[in-house]
Amino acid sequence: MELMNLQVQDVILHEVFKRGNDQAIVRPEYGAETEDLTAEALDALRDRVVAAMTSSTRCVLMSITKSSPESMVSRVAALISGDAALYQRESCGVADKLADEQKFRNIPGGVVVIFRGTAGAPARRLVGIIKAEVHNGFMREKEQDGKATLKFLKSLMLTAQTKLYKIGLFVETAPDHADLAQRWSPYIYDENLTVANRYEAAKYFYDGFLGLGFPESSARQTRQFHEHTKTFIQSMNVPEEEKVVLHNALVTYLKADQTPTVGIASFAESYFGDVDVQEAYSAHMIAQGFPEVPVNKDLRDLDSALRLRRLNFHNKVKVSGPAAEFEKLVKIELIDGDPDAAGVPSKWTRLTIKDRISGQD
Amino acid sequence: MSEAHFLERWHKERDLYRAWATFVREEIERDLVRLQPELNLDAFVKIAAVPRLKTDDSLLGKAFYRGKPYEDPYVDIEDKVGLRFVVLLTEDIRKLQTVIEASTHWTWSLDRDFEAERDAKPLEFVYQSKHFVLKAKQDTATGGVVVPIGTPCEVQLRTLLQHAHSELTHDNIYKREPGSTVTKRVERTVAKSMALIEAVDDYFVVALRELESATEVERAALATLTEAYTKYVGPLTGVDKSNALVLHAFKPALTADLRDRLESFFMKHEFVPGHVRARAPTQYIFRQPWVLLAYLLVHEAPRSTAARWPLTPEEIKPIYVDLAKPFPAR
Repeated sequence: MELMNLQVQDVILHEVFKRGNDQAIVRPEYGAETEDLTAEALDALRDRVVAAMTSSTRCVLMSITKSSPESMVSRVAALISGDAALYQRESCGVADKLADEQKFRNIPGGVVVIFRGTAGAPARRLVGIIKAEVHNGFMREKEQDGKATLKFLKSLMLTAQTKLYKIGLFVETAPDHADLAQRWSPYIYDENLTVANRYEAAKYFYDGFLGLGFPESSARQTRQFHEHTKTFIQSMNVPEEEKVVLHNALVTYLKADQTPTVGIASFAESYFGDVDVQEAYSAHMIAQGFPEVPVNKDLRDLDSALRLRRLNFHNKVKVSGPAAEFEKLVKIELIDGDPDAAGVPSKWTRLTIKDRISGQD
Repeated sequence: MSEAHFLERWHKERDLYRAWATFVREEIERDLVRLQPELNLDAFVKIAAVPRLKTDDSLLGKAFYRGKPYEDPYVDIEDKVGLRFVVLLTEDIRKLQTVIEASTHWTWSLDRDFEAERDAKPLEFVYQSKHFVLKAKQDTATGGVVVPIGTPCEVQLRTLLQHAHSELTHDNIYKREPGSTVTKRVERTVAKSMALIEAVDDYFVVALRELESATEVERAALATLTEAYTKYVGPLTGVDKSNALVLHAFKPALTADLRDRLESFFMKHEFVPGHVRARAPTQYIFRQPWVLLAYLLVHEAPRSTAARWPLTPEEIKPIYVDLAKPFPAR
């Protein structure tokens, strides 16, 4: 997603409440007009949006699953080019929809922030929808007599605390496409998105409210991520033992990690200590055509690849074992072997397999 | 000419002399900057050159009581008004000299030249300074008056060390008052300090050369960035020390193709100069040439740029937002 030179305009706020005791919808409080924000405030808002949408694990490209006239993408199409009155009216509709989709009392209320603008070069139009939970905090304030006092703020929102907001961003990547689902590329950011709850707790926001689902291409992209990363590790100029560790890490990252996405930045930051290596890895992945935005982790195409971990040696010896526990079952060391003609010891591998042989062919 | 007449004329013409000296100073400073546009005048001139008029008493003393054979003391005394430029190194003096000798506004004579004196008497270490006398080449209108042709102004050029030496010995040796005795031992000590000053000047020059060659890459990059800033953003208001910090931190990235990298970056990111221009009035970092390098590096290598960033994260974060790059957690 190209969010370079993000411009944010026509920011409007509506407050949405959690359901009443009888599970009935509480009518939102609508903002009458767009906010008049200072340059500094707009910069802070741009910062929040960019920080979220470049998040290494919690931002993901979705696909549009609902495009009826009542769907979010239809509202987005109206919002992007509506005049002030229509814009205000459509944005109220967005708030109503959220109130409607928050079906349970355990889903907190919050403020819906809607904006439109552009990003990228050439500039693409976009519409952003933020659900910001309201929290509280303190502010130091100088009284008239110069004494500093603490002031309690009950309705803080959109602080740098990213856990407390979710964003849906619709970018018009194919402006000439008649099909709304093709014209707009939707992205979501949600700190609550984890492998465990991506089909539960987080679902009301992306599915019910925004009308989005995880793209069909996720499985293929996850497999590509695995392949390209493997190639990069293999090409690294480091001792073989270190590559073994990195290969194990890749399996762990894909199978055990609870993040709902796979992505260049999150793998790089977790497993490559050196920033220059991170940079090289990122360049390699982008050159291979892997998206800069993380993709939904979908292991369907990788099941067999991740089930078995294989080691191939130059002398045709092959060793394989369960990938998930390979680290625990096999110890790998590089040792000095017999010297060659010039007297330089050749490099051998010592494997310690922590069990007895159970059968042979 | 009586003392009274002398003073009467002097009091009438004092303002003309002051105006002439002011004119001379402004001309010299303007030409210096023209010769070397990147020169920071305030840093180059170590002690501000302020026109100084001789006091009545010192004028009368020189004209009538020091046994100097003046035919017309009023005209013959050419240092009635003086300017003194104090700079760091003898090679800075040479820059001033070039400018003075090239001007079309005055005729010049060199009344004291320490370089010539050194050549003539290589074994002596004495007071060193360059004294020019600059006389108006034509009637010169300046500061609301017309300075007549031939009006003189003495200009002294000194290094800081020469100036210190001169201050120490001012009335004791150089302008030896009749009857004042200075012992041989003091003269010897003063001569030794002069010799040391000459040696130190040589070392200063060597040190400066070494410093310059050590920071050549950074200076070349700063010139490129300054040029690019002027071209893409607009006039620069000032270049501060943060540039040296930033350039030093990213020295490996300051390769010979920096200009090309900047050019192609701005070709693809046409919005950046507008953002820099819009923030420059209120945020100082957007007034520094390095801000362009920061954009380029955040674009080329966002992770390592954050890791090597020498200032605070707040200063570079807006650039990450503009380019929509994740700001790596520290």
